[in-house]
Amino acid sequence: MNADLNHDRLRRILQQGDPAAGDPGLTAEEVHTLRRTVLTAIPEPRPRRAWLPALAAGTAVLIVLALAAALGPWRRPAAPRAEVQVAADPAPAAPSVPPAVSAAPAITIPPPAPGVPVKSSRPALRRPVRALRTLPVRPNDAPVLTASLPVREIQFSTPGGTRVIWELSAKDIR
Amino acid sequence: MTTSAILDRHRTQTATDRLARLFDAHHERLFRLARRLSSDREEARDLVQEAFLRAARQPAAVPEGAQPEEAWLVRTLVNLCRDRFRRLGVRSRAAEEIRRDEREAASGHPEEAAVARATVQAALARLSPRRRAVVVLHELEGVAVREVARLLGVTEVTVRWHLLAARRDLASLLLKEERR
Repeated sequence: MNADLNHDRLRRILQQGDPAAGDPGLTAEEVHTLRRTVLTAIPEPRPRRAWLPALAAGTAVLIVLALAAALGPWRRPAAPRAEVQVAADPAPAAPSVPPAVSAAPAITIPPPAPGVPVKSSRPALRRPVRALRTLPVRPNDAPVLTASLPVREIQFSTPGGTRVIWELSAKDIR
Repeated sequence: MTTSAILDRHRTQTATDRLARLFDAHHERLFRLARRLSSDREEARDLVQEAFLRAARQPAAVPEGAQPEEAWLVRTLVNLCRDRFRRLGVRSRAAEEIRRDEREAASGHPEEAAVARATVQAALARLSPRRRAVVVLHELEGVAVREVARLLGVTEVTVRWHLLAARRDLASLLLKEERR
């Protein structure tokens, strides 16, 4: 009872002394100033760096291209090319050999021994043919070689390991 | 004009419109509350301005809807009062009250209303900002306890507890003053 009385009296005192009771509120000019201050305080949006996504995308594309070039499927080890190997049996120099014979260095390759059989192309024995000497084939060499070498042996080694041996003599060429 | 510039402009325009609507809808009510929570008119105006400036700087923090945005503004205002209350020490607050009492006495307003106002204001100034806000909202503005809890973002139990403590403090100040 006493508490309620005090409560009511307290509320009455508070309402009598309400600080906002005698205040007319903000004037129109104050409202206008306040409004302008508030509305101009909105921060401007930060300038966006439009080039940044493009730069990132370009960098990513470059990285992908570099990786593809380094690890791509088209980068296989080069297949061994069939090489023309010439082994020749030196023959006694014909009297008609011109001085150009010395230009054929393949002649200096020692011939295989006469008793050595020619190896067949069996799969079990496949192994790289040891190139004795590779000669560039030039059209001008043919008459010279055929003239100087009665028998020529040409070996081909295919990438699969098959070995092909041709024996050519001067009469075959002619 | 690039697309991003157009979007930025649109975003700014939207934020400005929303803030203008927020200001128009709530500035009177907020000033009245600030006037009851602060010591004088100038301080109340500063508090209102600062509350709306916070809304302008953080538009995303203001929730959508009339009631949520009102509650946000009220909470912001009470928090600003608390900041100011902490900044001014107890000593400076007491000195401010003395100066205000002297101003009231020297202003030549012997009217009972002015005296009552000064007395109530001095008594309210002794309360903490949140407790003062609870008393002002409930006792002076007539807001229900549940609504006060919603506005201040606290539970109803907390509001009742603040009311009880505030009535006790105010009774010891105001009723004693009345008996004199």
